[in-house]
Amino acid sequence: MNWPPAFQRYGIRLKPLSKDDLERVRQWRNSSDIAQHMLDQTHITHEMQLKWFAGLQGDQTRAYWVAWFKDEPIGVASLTAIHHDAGTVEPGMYIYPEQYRNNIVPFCVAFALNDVAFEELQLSCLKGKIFEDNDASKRFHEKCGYRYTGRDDNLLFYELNYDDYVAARAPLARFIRY
Amino acid sequence: MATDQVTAAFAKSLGLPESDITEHLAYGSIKEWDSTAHMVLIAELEDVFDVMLDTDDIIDMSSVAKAREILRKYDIKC
Repeated sequence: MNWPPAFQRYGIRLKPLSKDDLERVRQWRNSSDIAQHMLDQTHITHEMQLKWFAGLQGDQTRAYWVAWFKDEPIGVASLTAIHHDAGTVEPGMYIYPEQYRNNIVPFCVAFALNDVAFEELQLSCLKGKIFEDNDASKRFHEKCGYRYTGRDDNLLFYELNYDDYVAARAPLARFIRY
Repeated sequence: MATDQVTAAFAKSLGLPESDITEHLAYGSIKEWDSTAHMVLIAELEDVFDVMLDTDDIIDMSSVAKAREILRKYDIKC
């Protein structure tokens, strides 16, 4: 299997992150709208980005894609801390264009990413970490079927198994009519 | 009355009093209108008006006024 695998579903194309994407992704990642929700809020320099990308090559514990919608790159989706034996992974995503952040598009991206994790990579448990004050992210995770499992200071932990995901996806995926 | 049903659907979905629902209420202008609330809103509008919206219309529904404009495309008087 090419790593990471390309994937397309729900109107979303997940294209493996390439060197040509790096500057655009760095600009997105450093924008205040995106950075404020990140666990690591360090400003990313061009050199840091190149070093990070070089480290990704051949690393099957991490995977990054650029999410495309209607032939436009709209954000980044990732699977990190992949433990193939334990079946666990930490998904992540952000969407940059404001007009796609708060409607059905984030669900399309999340479902595509979840399908990669559960179906393509055969993982069994998705783990989420959310800042306590990020109500929108909490609601989004719960709508996607995640269950709260605990906390550490201001960080909340959630987990998603396949059955809960499929049950939560059905009432939302019916609106994805492409 | 259809006009009231649109207002009521927004109020219910966003968790706001109907008095806060104006024609200019727009996506991105209030924290209550997040992706989850947007989908609750779509489900409510489809249920109330017995309509199946195109996904592009779901994405374009960016204000109360725009919602009425989109619903009218489906021959809904609102």
